Amino acid sequence: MMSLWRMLGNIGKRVFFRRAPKVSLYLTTSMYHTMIDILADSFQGNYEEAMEVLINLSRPLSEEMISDILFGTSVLGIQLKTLLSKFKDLKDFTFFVDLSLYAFFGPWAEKIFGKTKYLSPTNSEERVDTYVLRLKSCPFCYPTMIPPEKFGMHRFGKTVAVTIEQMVQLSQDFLEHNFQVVAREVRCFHQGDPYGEIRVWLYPRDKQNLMQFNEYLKKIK
Amino acid sequence: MTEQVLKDIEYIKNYKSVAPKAKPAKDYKDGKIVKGVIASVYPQTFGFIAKNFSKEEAIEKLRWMGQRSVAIFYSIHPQRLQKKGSFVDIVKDIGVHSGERVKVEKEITKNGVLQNCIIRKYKCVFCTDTYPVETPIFFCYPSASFYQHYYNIRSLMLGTLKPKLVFVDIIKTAENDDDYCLYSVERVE
Repeated sequence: MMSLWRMLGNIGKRVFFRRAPKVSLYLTTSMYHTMIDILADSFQGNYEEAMEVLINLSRPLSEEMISDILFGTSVLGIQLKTLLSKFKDLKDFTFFVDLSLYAFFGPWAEKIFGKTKYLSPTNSEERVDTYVLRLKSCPFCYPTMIPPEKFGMHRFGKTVAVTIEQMVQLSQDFLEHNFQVVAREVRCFHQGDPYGEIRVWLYPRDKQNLMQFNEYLKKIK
Repeated sequence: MTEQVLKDIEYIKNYKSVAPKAKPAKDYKDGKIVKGVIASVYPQTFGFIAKNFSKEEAIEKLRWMGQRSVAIFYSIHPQRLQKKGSFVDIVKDIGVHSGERVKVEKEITKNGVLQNCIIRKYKCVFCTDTYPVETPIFFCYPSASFYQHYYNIRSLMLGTLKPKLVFVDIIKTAENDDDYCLYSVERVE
């Protein structure tokens, strides 16, 4: 039965992306870059503050957009939330993460991201359920001429990490799992790493104190 | 205006990514992303600018946003710079990337050179139903200046296009997804 839902998901994601209004990645990354620039210009060239403001500004609308897609989308007569409910198991949920990335990036998702990996608390350094998204290339940070140190504790693709964090959080809330989801871009081409990596941690709400042992959260905002 | 165009041409020529290992991104020539991603970031950025600056300053910043986007766009996509064509061809070229549907109307020419025209644009990247603040400032100034700069940079780079430079301003913006934006185009040089 699970393979049937996966098959429907694979068809549905293609139909969704084909129907959705789209913008080129080149244009999107140029605009993203420009929005950071214009905010930095408003804060006397402080890119770290600009990034902070951009994230805080975009969070509510971003959450609304993801919520609309997750809970308001119906493809081939099947609601996306119905499909989501079939991936309650945390290990199976990786399929839904990859499906969501496809919904945003279409076939380009597979050029940017590798397959999402799940690490159980025993296998994760941070001792909580973890998703690891490897980036093979990055359309977002390539255009920049701004040195990474100017971003301080932020990473250039912070909005991508936040979007994934919100998507996982809304999904897990819908599945009635009691997690606080936190995501960070722990490796980044902009920082000189050979690949990008976004880690998504699912902290049980009654064990949020475990966050204090997460070394990445100390270094990356 | 010429000074800004030349400055951005220099930026494009001197462009060097500080994240070269992300290089495959350079080849995303057909890559697309759902429009909702921009719609989830731009309105709030617009709201921030509209709230924190005077009307004139805000318009200047929003127009600068469009110009800056063009400079970055051409930097990572330099093949576009070499492509020749008329004003109409170049403007329609933007639609391939923005998903906008563009019609050029009321063209007035003198000795075969465009003097004025109107751009009617459907499916604007910026104009959505979600306006964050009550403001008399048009929502899509970055788009108008994008059209202007997109043509002007290519014109000065190629050196053979006529008109040499244009100024694009907004007449009206779309109020909903079925509505359209109208831009006026005027020959400067």
